[in-house]
Amino acid sequence: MKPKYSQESQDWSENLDDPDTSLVNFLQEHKPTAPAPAANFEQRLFAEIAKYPLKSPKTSNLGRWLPWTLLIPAAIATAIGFNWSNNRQYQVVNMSEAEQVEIENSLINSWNMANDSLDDPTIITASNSIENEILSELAPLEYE
Amino acid sequence: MFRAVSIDIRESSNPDPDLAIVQACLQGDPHGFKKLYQRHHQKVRSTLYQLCGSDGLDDLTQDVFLRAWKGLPKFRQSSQFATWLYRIAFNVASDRRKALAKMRSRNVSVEDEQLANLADDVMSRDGETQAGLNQMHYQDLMQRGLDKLSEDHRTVLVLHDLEELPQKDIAEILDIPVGTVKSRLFHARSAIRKFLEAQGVEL
Repeated sequence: MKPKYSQESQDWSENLDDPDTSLVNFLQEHKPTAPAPAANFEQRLFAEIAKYPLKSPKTSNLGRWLPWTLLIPAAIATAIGFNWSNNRQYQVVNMSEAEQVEIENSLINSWNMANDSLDDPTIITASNSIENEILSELAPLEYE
Repeated sequence: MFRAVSIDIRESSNPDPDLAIVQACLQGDPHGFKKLYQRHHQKVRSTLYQLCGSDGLDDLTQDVFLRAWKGLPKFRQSSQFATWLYRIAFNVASDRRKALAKMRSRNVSVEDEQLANLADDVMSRDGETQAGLNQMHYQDLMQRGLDKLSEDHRTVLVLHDLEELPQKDIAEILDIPVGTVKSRLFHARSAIRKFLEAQGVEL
């Protein structure tokens, strides 16, 4: 009887204490043998294979990475452009000392004017009287 | 940790002899794939025959090597080429069996039932058993026994007991745990033993 496994078998632990040794011996001894291939089989196979030229791994890797190699620089360029345009919006304009002083004075004046108008009682009463007039004119209309 | 170390040692001491040929093939060696074919075609053909029978065997073998050729640039060289090739062969066989199952007619299902009842018939005909056994070729018996098994059990039995692949490799080919390989092997052996014994084979 043929031994259960050939000497090339790597799993020696699988052979130990195997209760199915006689069965496996039988299976191997009477293993159905595949019929021989057609006479021109190999020729036919390699003719078929020749229709499909092998893509080199470099080409296939390039194909895999090409979209990324295009996408990543495009994304970086977009980010830089976006950042630049944002900075440009908030960029402080270089102006002379005199212009800065003029703008500051203008701001202070407008601020003071606003404060003055709030503090002046004549302005408030004037505005109040106008509002009262409008309200008195509108009031009868509500009951009509 | 110890397991990983032991695997590394084994792999480094036993490098895959096919890898150099695969490399040559990828670098444009026109004879590279022919070498791989010559090294493996008998095993592939035999496996396909055990799994699918003789119908369209040439086409199936061609399909396996054509798929291998097309997929060669994607072959991850961390695994054995033979294991990878067996995986392709298993997929081709599996596709074939699915296609056949779809086309299976009522007549064939009747034949299956007859085959399933064959063991009982033979046991009931005691007088004819011995004479039938003498006439019947063991290979035919084996083929019929394999036909009786489910696809999962048949695949594991063929790869392990007939093609003598280690359980670890079978687990990798079928993408299942080693424990499942052991379990399927146990059930497959039990079923085929029962069939053979019913046919009068003394094991």
